[in-house]
Amino acid sequence: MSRRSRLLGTLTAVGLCLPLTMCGAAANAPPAASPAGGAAPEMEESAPKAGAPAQPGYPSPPPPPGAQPSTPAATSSADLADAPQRRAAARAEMDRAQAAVEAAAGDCSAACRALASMERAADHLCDLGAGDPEDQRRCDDARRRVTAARERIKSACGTCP
Amino acid sequence: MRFRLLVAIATCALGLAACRGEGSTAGCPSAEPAGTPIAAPVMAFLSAARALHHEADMHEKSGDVPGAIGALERLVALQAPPAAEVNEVLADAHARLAELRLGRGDLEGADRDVGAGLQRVQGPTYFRGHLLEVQGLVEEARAASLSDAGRADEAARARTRAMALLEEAVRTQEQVIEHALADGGQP
Repeated sequence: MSRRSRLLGTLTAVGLCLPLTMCGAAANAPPAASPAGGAAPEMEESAPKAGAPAQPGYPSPPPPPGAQPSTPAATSSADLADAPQRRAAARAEMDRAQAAVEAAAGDCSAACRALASMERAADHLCDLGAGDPEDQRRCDDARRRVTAARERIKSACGTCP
Repeated sequence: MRFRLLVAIATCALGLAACRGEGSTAGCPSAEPAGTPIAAPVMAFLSAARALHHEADMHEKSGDVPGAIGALERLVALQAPPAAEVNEVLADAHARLAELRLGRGDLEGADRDVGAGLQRVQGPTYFRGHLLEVQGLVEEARAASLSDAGRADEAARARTRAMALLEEAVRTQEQVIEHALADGGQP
């Protein structure tokens, strides 16, 4: 598998991982502790609640005083207890994927930089070696190495900038 | 490219340091336990080096090569904390200095800078390969100069050295590429 394919795969993993993490934070977070005896947080007051459709044209009724905010689906207490661990695991997975993406991009950048130096060195070598058969052989060898390296980078990373 | 390289090194080091400073790994490149913390003197050195490269860029853009050399001489004279990143930055600065001196015909000065840079980096790294490349150019220029002066034997020796150095540069960068792209080649 080429480095570019792996990079795309990792990016996909990040893309899949990020929404999961965000969903985990939005849907599975335990209700925030209320400083005022169980009053619902401000955001929940203004947002329509899932599972309790409002009448068209009428706002949703406010929750009764002291009532716990309702959860969208029947969420068990075990699910709620696991939520922080699952969020942490998803975040760790996303961090690993991000590090892999950055490492792959860094490897290609380093390879391109080295190729540019290699090409310059080979050009000068061939300029110096023009005319002499032994020097021409050294020039040809350097050119072959440059060509092979360029192909290797092309298959792994695409073209260099 | 050189400035971007330095920015990348500095950003990586500063970013890691910032992550570790929070006492949390949230948002850091890896949530795995951190390695050796980036020391404050290293961060200070990288920041100063970045500023001096930027200053050298500005001098070069305005055609003031001596000004650019002056900025880089201040960089290589900075107190250098012991760290791999610092050695790479210094090797890179010596290579840039050598190129600037070579452009002004100061072959001995260029040679000294290449030598100082090579002492900073061992093994097949981009920085070492680049220094070998520049050293090859210095010998190439020396060969031309000696030839112009009618010193054919010395010119031929300089040319032989130039070819050997350029071949070594090609092989070194070839290894750098192989290592960078090899599976599991991550340090």
